[in-house]
Amino acid sequence: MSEKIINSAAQGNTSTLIELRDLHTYFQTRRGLVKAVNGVSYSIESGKTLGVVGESGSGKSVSAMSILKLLDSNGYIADGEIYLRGEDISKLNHRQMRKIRGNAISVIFQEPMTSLNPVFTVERQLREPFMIHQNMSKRQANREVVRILSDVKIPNPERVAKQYPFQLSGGMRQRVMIAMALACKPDILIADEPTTALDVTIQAQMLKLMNELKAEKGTSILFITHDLGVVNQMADDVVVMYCGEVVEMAESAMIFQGDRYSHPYTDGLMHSIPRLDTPAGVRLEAIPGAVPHPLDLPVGCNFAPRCKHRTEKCEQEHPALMEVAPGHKVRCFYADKSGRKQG
Amino acid sequence: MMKFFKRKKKKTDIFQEELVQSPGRTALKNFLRRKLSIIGLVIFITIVIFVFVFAALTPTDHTHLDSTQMNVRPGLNMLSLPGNLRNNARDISFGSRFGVGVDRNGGLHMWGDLHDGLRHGHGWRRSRTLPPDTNIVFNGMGPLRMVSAGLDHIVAVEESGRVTAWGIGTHLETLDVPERLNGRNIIDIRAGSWVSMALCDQGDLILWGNDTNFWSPHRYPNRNFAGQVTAFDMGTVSAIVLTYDGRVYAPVRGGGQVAATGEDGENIPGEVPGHVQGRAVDVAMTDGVYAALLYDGTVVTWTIAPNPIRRDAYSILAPDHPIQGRVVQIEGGRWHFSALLDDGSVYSWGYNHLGQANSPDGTSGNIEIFVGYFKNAAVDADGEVTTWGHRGYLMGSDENGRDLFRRVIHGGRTTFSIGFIAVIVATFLGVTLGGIAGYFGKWPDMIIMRIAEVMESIPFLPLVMVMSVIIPARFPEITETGRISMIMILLGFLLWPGFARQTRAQILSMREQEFVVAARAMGVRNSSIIFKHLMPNVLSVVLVLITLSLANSLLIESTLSFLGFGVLPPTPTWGNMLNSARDSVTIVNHWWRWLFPAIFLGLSTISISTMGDGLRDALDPRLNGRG
Repeated sequence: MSEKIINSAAQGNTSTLIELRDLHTYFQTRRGLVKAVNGVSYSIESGKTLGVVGESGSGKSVSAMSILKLLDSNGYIADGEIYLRGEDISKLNHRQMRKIRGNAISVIFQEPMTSLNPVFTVERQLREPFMIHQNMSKRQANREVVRILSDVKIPNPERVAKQYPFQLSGGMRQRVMIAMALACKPDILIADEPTTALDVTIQAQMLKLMNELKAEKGTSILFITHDLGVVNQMADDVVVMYCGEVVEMAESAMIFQGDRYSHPYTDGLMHSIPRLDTPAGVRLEAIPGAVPHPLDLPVGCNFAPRCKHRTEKCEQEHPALMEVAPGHKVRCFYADKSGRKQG
Repeated sequence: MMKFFKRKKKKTDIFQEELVQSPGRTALKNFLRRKLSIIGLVIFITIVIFVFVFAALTPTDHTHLDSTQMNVRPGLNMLSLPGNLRNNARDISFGSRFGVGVDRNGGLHMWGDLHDGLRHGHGWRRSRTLPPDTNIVFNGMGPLRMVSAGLDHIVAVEESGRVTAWGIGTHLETLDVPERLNGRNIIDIRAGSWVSMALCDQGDLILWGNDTNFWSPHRYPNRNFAGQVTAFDMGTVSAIVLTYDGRVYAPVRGGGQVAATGEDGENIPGEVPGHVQGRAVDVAMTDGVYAALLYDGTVVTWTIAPNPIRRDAYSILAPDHPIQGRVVQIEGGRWHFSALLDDGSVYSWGYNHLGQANSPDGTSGNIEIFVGYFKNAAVDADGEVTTWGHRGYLMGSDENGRDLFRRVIHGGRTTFSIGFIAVIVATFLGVTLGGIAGYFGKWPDMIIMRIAEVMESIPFLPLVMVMSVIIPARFPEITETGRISMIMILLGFLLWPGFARQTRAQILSMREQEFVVAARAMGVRNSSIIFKHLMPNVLSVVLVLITLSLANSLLIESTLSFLGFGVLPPTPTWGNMLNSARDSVTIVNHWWRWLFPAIFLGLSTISISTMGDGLRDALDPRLNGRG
């Protein structure tokens, strides 16, 4: 099988590390089929950071977890392909997936409190990827553990290695998680809201650390967050997701520098961030309404019920993702800000 | 262990403590803080070690049967001669479970497991109640010359020549001393089981009691010793007789046994060996083996029964080490011989299950030996007594004359082995299946948990009753070991749903936690996640369950055996020992037969439960109060 992987990898575009093509991930629930990811395509260039932004339930985490097939037991990839260096990994079985997990692709999870096994020492958990993927002996692996712990700037790594997760602070645990994710020098690091549970100062440290590691090791990062500020700081490219679909994708600069084109949802997200230059007394804008229930999506544009620019057309037709400028795609009939109806 | 109690708690503030302790150590510390659990743990471990070590050290034949040792009271006083007899003995005799002696002043002494009939005398008016080890004088009884103890009665000869018999009275005939003895000069007297025999002057052997067929021509074909007897010895159902001219008369056939064929088919000569005749100076017998002391100080033994009760009767026939020296006196116990040598030392050989053949080394100066059942005594010229042999039963004996202490120990081994193996089987099955069910969910969960529920819903006792009837009927060749293994597996199968349910519940709650996803994201195998990452989290619950199930399985096994569906006698377990003691007669009269197994069973289960409770409290973080 591994030979096959190499052969097919040769055909792919080498600068594109991972590519999702028209990915559909569905969850079979008791109340119906939830289309958590509904035709999502994006790709990550090697050495770059892709920020995936969206509200809770927008499918951003599911699309990333689909890459590793770490879905809940009722979830499955219904359609679409995932290419890792040009090779389709969406059809691999469990055993083949295990070789990729933690090795080529690894994950940093949101909750540093629960992502470490409470009954194992840091050393015991961190040496596992070394022993699994690099066939190291326990002693070698333990040496590597101390090394990667110092890589993520943990003071006194020998001591921390012998400690249990509950003896560490949140920031330390997240560093341990990052260390674990980076253990086997993965090509891609999927960071699933890695800073959400951390306080702001630690957040900044973590982001700095990740950027440093990325610069050092050339690791690509798939950064999943709902925090546009963090995306601005981290990402080279940005994908905005809403209701299982990509609604806008562009280079980070295009989105954050008030380009001519944008999706109203992105606009809404932008305006809901408190800014230093907002005059005092002005209320912070919020997107009205809530995300529609995944089993009860609108007929037309998914965002139409909450959109202040909506027209009749929006409520009847589902817009396609259109390239409005080179490298900038928007799923809106009125991507050009000038052509919008003002609500 | 006491160190933990005494050690002063080191002063650490909360944060320090949190930093230095692993969860395991915290749990251990919490556990050690609970004194009751520690006591439980210590008791349980003590019982287990005690039971297994002792059982290994004392290989015991559970099929052993000795009707003379039935229901003996607990006590180690069978060789405890009263003080003024110990250094002033004239005659000593050992009965089945008691001893009797006469001091040089003619005073009577009794000790051991004495029933009221023995203590106060059947037919004698109770003059005063005396402790059993003091000089007992019955109303109207003069100073004694000699005494003999049998199965359950005693005969004594007064210095005046009057013969007295008293006892429990199960064989009343033995207590009616015949008038023929009046005025005779009695040389030797022996109390047997249901007969007594006296050797009078002029070589007359007088037998009384239930003497029908005692001298039956079938067993003594050429009996012709009237008026010529110089010595005799008596066993339970027969006697060996020596005449003036050195001829020996012994039965040629066993009492109940007809065939005189050895186990391997070889014929064992029933007749007294030819070279003994005319050369014997003393005779003795055990149960089935006869011995004659020849004039040259050598001992000749022979047997008539192919299997004289003991399978290793050959140890009675020939001592392991040849006797070094000239024998001057030989006496027989129930299954052993003791000999007095001309240098005053003693030597015993034969079956040694109660230590009856452990003759003391280096004794000398003895002038006479007294042997009865499993007990021996030697007296020197000053009347100083040395005793060896069976001191008594620590916990009494059971209805078949087996040492209850050994049965408790061996029963405990069986009970514990079954419990341990059953719990191991249950843990293995339950944790594996529960882990799979909890981790994978969906149809494996469905199937496994439904099977568990079906298992649990089967009424247990009827199932086992049916199985215990069907299995021996289907497989008649099944051995007791096979049966025990079956019970182990059955119990294991019975207990696993509990383990499966607990494990599944734990894993189910753990599986959704991110560290499991993290482990999967790291490429860890599913089996490895279940057994390496999740099991340590389940361990605490399973550990508690193991201890509690162990207590449970001990009780279930005992219940089964008590009801007669578990381990069958003669293999002992605490359950079937209790079963054998459940009739009202035993409960009232032979309290030791239910008390000791019950104490051990109760103590074990209570101590395991206490231990398990403590373990649960120690491992449950929610209950971790900082005391």
